[in-house]
Amino acid sequence: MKKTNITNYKKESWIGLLYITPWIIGFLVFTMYPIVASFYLSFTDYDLLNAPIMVGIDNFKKIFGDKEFLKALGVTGKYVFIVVPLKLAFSLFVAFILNMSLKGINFFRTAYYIPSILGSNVAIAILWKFIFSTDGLVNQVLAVMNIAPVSWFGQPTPALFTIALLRVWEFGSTMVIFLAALKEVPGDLYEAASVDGSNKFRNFFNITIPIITPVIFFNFIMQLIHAFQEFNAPYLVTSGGPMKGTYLLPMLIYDHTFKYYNMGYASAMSWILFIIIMTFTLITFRSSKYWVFYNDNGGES
Amino acid sequence: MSELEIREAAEYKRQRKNKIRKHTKTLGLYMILVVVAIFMMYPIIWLVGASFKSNADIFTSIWFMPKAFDFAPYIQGWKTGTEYTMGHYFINTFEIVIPKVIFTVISVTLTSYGFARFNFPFKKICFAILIGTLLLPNIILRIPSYMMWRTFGLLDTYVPLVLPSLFAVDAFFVFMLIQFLRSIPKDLDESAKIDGCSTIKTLLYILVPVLKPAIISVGLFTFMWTMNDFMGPLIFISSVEKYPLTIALKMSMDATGGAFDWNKVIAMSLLGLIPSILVFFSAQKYFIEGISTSGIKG
Amino acid sequence: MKKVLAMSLATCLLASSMVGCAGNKPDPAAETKSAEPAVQAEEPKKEEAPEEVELRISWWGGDDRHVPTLDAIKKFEELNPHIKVKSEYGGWDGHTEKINTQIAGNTATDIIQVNYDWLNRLSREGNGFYDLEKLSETIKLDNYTEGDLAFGRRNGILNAIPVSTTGRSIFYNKTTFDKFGAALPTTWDELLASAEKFSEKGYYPFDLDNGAGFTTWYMVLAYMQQKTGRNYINEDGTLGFTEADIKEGLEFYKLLEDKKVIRTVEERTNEAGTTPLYQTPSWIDGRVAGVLEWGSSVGKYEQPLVEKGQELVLGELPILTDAKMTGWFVKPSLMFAINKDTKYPEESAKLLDFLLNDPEAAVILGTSRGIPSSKAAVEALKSADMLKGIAFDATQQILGANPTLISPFTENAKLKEIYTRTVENVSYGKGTIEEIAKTMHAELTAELANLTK
Repeated sequence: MKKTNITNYKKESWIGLLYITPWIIGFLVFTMYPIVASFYLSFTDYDLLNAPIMVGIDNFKKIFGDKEFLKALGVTGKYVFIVVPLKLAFSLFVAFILNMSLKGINFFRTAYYIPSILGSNVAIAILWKFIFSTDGLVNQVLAVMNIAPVSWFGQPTPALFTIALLRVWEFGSTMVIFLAALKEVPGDLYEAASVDGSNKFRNFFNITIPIITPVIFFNFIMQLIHAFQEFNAPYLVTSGGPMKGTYLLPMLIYDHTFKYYNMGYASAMSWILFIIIMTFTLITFRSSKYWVFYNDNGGES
Repeated sequence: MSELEIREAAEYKRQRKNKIRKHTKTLGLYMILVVVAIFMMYPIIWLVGASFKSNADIFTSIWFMPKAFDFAPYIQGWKTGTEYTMGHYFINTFEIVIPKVIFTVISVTLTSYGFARFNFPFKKICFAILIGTLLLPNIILRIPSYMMWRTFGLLDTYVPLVLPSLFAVDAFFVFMLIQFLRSIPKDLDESAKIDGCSTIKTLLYILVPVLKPAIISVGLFTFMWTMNDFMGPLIFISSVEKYPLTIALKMSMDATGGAFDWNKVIAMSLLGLIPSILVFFSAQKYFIEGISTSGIKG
Repeated sequence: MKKVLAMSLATCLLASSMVGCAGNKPDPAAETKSAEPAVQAEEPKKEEAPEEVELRISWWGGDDRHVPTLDAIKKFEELNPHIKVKSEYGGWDGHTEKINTQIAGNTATDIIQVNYDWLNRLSREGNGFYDLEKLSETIKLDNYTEGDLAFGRRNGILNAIPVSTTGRSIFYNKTTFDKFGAALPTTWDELLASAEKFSEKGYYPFDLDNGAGFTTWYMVLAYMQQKTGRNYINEDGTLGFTEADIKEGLEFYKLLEDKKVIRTVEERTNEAGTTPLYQTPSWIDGRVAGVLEWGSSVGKYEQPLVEKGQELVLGELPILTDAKMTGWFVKPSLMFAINKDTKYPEESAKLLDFLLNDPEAAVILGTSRGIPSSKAAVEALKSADMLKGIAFDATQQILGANPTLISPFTENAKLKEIYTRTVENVSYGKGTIEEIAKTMHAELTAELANLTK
């Protein structure tokens, strides 16, 4: 970038803007209105029936004394903490294995992606229950190992864990992104390394990981955002129970919108959630200069 | 035996051992792959079985094998309890999915190229907004977007579901491709520039081939996530005639009322999975091709 | 900083537009306009009927409701060639979201199938829907008792007509009871003692599904209404139960758990998360042998048992010997209302009357929306011999028991949430019953005040 002279820069800048024009139009025409609307609604009392009534910052004041909100926030934090590292580690590991040139690897790649294709299929809720119910698969395995059965759905923390596992199990998309990134690692780097006699796993940490840090960074941010916005998994499997132990913030927001019809309040909660996610995202972005290695000569984003 | 011979024999033994170790290693790897694959695939195997079961058997057995094979659920499920057959809903779904995939791939590639490779005024702010659009829970945006599309007079059409993708509104993909682009050495396009390539040519002929796995994933995800989207069409589409598969699948399920046959629902949801599985299976060869051999030099 | 400025500017612009959206101005045109092209293509263009009309009707249900309803509507269209009916129907999943979005956007259909508790929200003052008495020349209201119609009145205005009434009844898995040589309980005491014969581990004579049906609270409600003679919620929407009533009711619940009549919430949840009971192995394999359920939807409990060769029978409603009232209750299982902004009230009324009261339609529709309340419809079904089965027996039983009409507030989402949480607290032992009852009383009072203010 320093190579380019000023005239070039000016010319390029217009080209750059030209390329992102679709997005700018899309944002202004389709995305902005709902976002700004929800921002406006967060200062109102809106029951989806009568026109919204301006209430100033009342909603926000109320939130910080709302036990349900604080509880849900705690549970959400716990969930994020469990699911993000587990899912990232697992999908990176599997992507590494599936990147090997073994016979029949195509089949395995598809097989491992199937849980993600299922999405929120009816079958998942049913099967998850077979696995974790009182005399389900997991408890039977535990019994063989002489471990007392766990009350998976019956107690809050184990229940949260089953939800997290469901999401880890649907690791396919994250894995595919890693896989695509691994494909970008130039093969000759490995060749050079194998001449040096270093083994595969050391290569993985010394060569592969640094090269794909931009994608690790991406997956980390996206998993963070998705985990904070998780709704379907607990909705399908536990409905937020027992004792609200899996009642995540988006579920509370949903209930306030479509069950209690406090859309103003729900919007305010969404914006608090927005700020929380933004804080984490910003921290990650700030930290990225220490551990993310770009290959574009520091072309800034 | 001379010392040398002993040493040679030992060396031979060691090599053999290594070979065996290598084989057992591969074998072990396969065993792990297979075991994990069973865990991953069992649900779909179970689903196939369940489509032949009675309600009582579906909810009481984790074992996939049905007592008998009767294709009635498939036939009845295909007919549906609505005015249209499942085939109709399949076509509707593709009418949404196919343009959306094409639009998304094109618009996202262009936008991410702009972000990743150029400097322009307000770039930082634009990028912040781009990421910012990801941070609000969708639930809260549903009603305002409904209002918006009502104002446009485009409710009960596929426009709200498809048109925005022409404008790279899916920030997830834009961000993803930006990250991929940034892991590609910039010298690659610099050299193209020296060869006199315009920016668009650089993108099409130099970067897109390198980015292929990532671009394919964008298309893949768009395809599969749109196939699975329930809430979007539910809110924007009100005519049964225009329903996509996801909604049609749930048409027979009424938790508040009497009993309904799960096997029909399961049978049809299985059919609904087939396009995604096929698309994934055929797309993944592009991940293998990759560019690992094309040799990008730094 | 600039961003904030821009945001607030946009907000101001928005404030005005949002009010416009959510105002009460009718705007069905927005939706019908976009729907028209597709529909017109199907329309026969032959005759020039001047008052060609398109009605929209929405309902939720399963195939067993969609198919007959579509058939009945087809029949209606044959009889009224100038009226074209567009059906917008779907499963239960997501239906509330859809309806609420449509209502927020003033794009709801002309005829709407509504749930009992929706009325309170959508028409608190009675002006949220079309006043059906204005259409009484077309809708034959004399098919209904004043008690039935009362369900649909808000502020004295007839907003909706109940399609059918239903009450909670008790059903037993006779096969399991026979297995243990146990008699079906007929009184509360017998119910409390019923577990004694259930000698095998893991077998229970009864179940109260806390997650999906809020059944636990309904059971407590019936018991305490009998005991005290007070309504749980009074007609004016205030709480009828005292704190002591609630405490006693919860103690009764705890007793059921302690006597192993039912499983604890943890045991039940642990089996299957929040899956409804009828989808769990315990029910299907007959290990829990009794359930409290709306007569209109008992079919889903019965079907898997029949598949497994077991028999579900209607039990007797337990009533205290010194009961001050029956305690058992009914509600309309479904209602139909007409959009207050409809362009075609006459035609909508015509369709509604056809679906509710026409003998021919009644036979087509059968019991797909429960046992009809309409006299004409019941007559038609009787002569076609279509009224039988456990759901019909249950409806007969409850209607013959002089039931209470439950307050529409009973099923309010926020209150349901309180029931679930309270019962969980009792079952998991989070605090003494006295404390829990106190909290519940305070919460119910506050929420009801909020709902009626």
